Amino acid sequence: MAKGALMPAVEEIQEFLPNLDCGRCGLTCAEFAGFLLTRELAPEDCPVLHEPDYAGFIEALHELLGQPTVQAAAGMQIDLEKCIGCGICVAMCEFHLGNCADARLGKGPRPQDKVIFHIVNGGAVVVHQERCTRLLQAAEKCSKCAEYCPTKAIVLF
Amino acid sequence: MEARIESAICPGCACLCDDIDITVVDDRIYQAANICLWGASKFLAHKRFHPKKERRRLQQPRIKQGCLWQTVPYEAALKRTAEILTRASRPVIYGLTNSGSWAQEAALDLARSTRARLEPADLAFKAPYYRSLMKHGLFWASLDVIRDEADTVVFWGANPLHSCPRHVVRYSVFARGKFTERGLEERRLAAVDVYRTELAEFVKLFIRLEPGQEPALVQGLLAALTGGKPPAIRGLRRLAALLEEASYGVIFFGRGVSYGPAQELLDGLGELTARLNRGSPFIFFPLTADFNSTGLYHLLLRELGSPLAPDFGHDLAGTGQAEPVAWSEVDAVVVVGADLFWFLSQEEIDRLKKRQVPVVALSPFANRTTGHAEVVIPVALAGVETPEIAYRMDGLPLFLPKIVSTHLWSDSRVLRELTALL
Amino acid sequence: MGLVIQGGIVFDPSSNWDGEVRDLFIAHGRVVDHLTEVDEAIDARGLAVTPAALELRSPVAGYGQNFLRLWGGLPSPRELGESYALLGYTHIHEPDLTLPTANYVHRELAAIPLMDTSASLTLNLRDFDIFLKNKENLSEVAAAWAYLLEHCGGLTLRVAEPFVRYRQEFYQHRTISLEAVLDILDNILHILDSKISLEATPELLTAGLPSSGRFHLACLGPALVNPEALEKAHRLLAAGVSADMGLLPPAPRSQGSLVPLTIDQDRFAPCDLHGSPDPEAPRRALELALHCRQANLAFSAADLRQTPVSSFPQLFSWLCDHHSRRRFWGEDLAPCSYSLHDWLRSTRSLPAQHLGLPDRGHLRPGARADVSIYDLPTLSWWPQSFNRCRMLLKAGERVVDNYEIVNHTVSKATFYRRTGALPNHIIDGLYAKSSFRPGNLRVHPNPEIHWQKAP
Repeated sequence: MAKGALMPAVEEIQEFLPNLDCGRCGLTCAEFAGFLLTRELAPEDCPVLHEPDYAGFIEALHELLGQPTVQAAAGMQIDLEKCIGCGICVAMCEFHLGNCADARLGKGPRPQDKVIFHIVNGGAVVVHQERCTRLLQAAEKCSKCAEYCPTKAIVLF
Repeated sequence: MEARIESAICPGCACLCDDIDITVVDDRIYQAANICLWGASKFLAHKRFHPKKERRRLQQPRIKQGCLWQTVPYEAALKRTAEILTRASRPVIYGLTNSGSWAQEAALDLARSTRARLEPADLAFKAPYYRSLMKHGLFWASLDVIRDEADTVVFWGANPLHSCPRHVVRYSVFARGKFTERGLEERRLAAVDVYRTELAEFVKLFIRLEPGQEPALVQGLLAALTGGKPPAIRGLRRLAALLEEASYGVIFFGRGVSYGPAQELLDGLGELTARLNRGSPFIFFPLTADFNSTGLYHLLLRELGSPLAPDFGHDLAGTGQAEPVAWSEVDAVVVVGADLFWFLSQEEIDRLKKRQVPVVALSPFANRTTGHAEVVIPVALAGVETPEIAYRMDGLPLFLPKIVSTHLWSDSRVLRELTALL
Repeated sequence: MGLVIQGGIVFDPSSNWDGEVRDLFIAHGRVVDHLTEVDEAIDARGLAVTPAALELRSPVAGYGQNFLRLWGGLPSPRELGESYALLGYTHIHEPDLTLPTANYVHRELAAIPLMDTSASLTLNLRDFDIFLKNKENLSEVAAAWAYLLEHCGGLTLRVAEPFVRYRQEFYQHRTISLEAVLDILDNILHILDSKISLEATPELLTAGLPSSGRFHLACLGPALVNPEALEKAHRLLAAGVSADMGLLPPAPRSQGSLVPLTIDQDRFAPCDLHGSPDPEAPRRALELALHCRQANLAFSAADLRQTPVSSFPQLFSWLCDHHSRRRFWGEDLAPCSYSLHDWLRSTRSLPAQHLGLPDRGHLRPGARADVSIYDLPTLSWWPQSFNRCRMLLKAGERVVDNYEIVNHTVSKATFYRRTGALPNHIIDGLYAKSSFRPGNLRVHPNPEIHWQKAP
């Protein structure tokens, strides 16, 4: 990423999405925005953005996200073969500690809670990578999720 | 058509996590948030240890005629089962720890009316525990209190990550309770087992013993606590110190204790707990895995005055038996929500077949028992396809409503109609 | 369906009927003034007709009570329901229901046949301690309690530990003394216009209750650990405080040979269900009951392990018959005994009053037709006649007839108080600490339970 440039926030990305939650891509618009940030999806993957009403949106998103070849500054990769869905990572996450009372206690987050990742269908799934504190800290990046995973299913990069 | 259901309850294990947020599409469960692999195996029908492999649902009742299976309606399957039970003089109703409380009550009525023995699937695990309680006393608390208070946690012969994965997060290790707000940081942990498990990742004091060494360790701990001379077992002194310095302790014991000299070990642990309670509060707690095992023992104790396996063939009051049933004496089995044949030795299976003991299996999924049974009756998944009551491992009941529909009968309906036929 | 109980000798202390011959008319399950047409007549000539009894304190369904059965300390639910019915009871009340265990308690109560049930919501003051210290917060605490009462399916409020104390060092600053708590409770009860039941302890007897009349002292017996406690109890009863007896057997059963049975319910002290009281407490409890028979003192047994329901006739006989006292206790203990009027008052009128059920405990028009009919003795009024009722009607339906249970499946309900209170931030805070999500913490729509709002 260019020096001094910050990762765009989900809200900024969402300004250039249809925000209809039509589900044609299989996700809500908020989830799609998250995947854009982690580079798992590209703006072209949204079928609605190809319609004339949304001319220029795809280009704007590319500009916002930066060059497609640039990697995200930090992220987590979960090996679903190893993950047992115990949720230790969700409870130990530094971000969750301050932002999700249920996760702090040891319970599962509610659908409306602010989380980086949560357990779905027995495996950990990232939903808002950009909230991870690893993106903000220069040195001594937090690695609690990987550290405490009992099956070593999390790889941090 | 999509529906969102919040705070559904998971019948995957005895944690009965009630924070499952489900998305149902066209009457099928599409997605379940906050559910571990064990719960996913119930809601999404895949194998517990191999999530990529589907578990086969049984769709129609069937009866074995010679070597061939014949699909029959429920009524015919029930009629045949009734015939089997009427002919039998020593029938057993086995399992029930993975059934809801209404099904368990129906099974108790059936056992009474057919003079059968009701055999809980985990009797070898629970019976020695209850007998130890009666000798040494009960020190009990709900999981919330344990989460809030316990600064010292010992897992004995238990691997919660295998039997009830979210337990360590919700209650015993990582949870941040009222007086344990620092969570893992302020919990002093220990584990005792015959092989090293994933617990060792965060439990620093992990004592690995040879099978059969456990009673010696317990006696050694008692000696250390009472000023005697303990034997030289690696880790004993550290564990004794851990226990002695506890402000509030819990000893969770798991199925592992039932694989060795269970009664001796549980008596020892019961005595140890009673002794420790003279200093600080210490809870002695079975780490139940089957989602409504606690409900079954609660029911038996409440209705019959004993949590052991009631044998109505023995006498009308159904005296509780502590020793697991001798299969060589049984002449008919109704298996409810358990895979009996998975647990029996090949010898025992051969003998049952040789004696032509008829087996009736009530199960949602195909398993070894349904493969061998004479009558197979598919049933709805309790807490998913049919409403039921289940008890969390600390004895608190929850009402599990129906989430999706099915044409299959519930096991409580099958058992009730069976009783009515007899 | 019109029913008349004809020619019975009616005893109802709260209506001032002390053995008058009256016809009782019953329609739609209630006592009515008069009926010109009746479908059925019950001939009660020469028989004692009384309101059915209510059990104010029946610790049968609390969390952990089931374990008592391991040592034979509690009979099966069926036996409980039947023993109570045969004595002439139609309602039992569980004192120990808490927010986390509400569903457990209600399920246990639903398992007891024949009896209507209710429970006291036992509040844990430690859950509210930061709010209690400030007078401005008390109306919100009151609203929170009213909300919890309804949503836990409770009928009355109770506090087992009227103080706030912690074992943990770093929570010592949150301690609130017994005296301070009593004052705070008095304020909250004034806001709620309600009463509360406090579990009697020697400290509580000494403390001096506020004189507002909003406090009920539960289970006095075990608290009478010394003559001073007895003296204090006498004074409180003389001043009109309402209480229940907490009677115990002369020699507590198998003292010392029982193992501990402790249940930690997040209170300062865990409850030991196998605890044994002071050896002199039983005698003092009976003495107190005898001397204070005119007081606001309802009948109760301290715990059903020591005095099972089947032994209640014996307890009644100690109150009513000095011969019986001499036999079991070796002495009279007091110069007077309970008359039939006194006994009925302590087992019918007062419990109904304390539970806040205005249509029970009496037989005036409007009352629910819960009627127990006994043989009337010819010699001293207290023989075995009152050990077993001849007939028991529950809302006009026969439960017991000819001394036997005739309807094992009579309908039963769980009574609770509807307060209409709304949740507030105190409730949110409370629910946030629970392992259950709020939707699952409230009493769930269990089809096994038939709920009825108390009038």
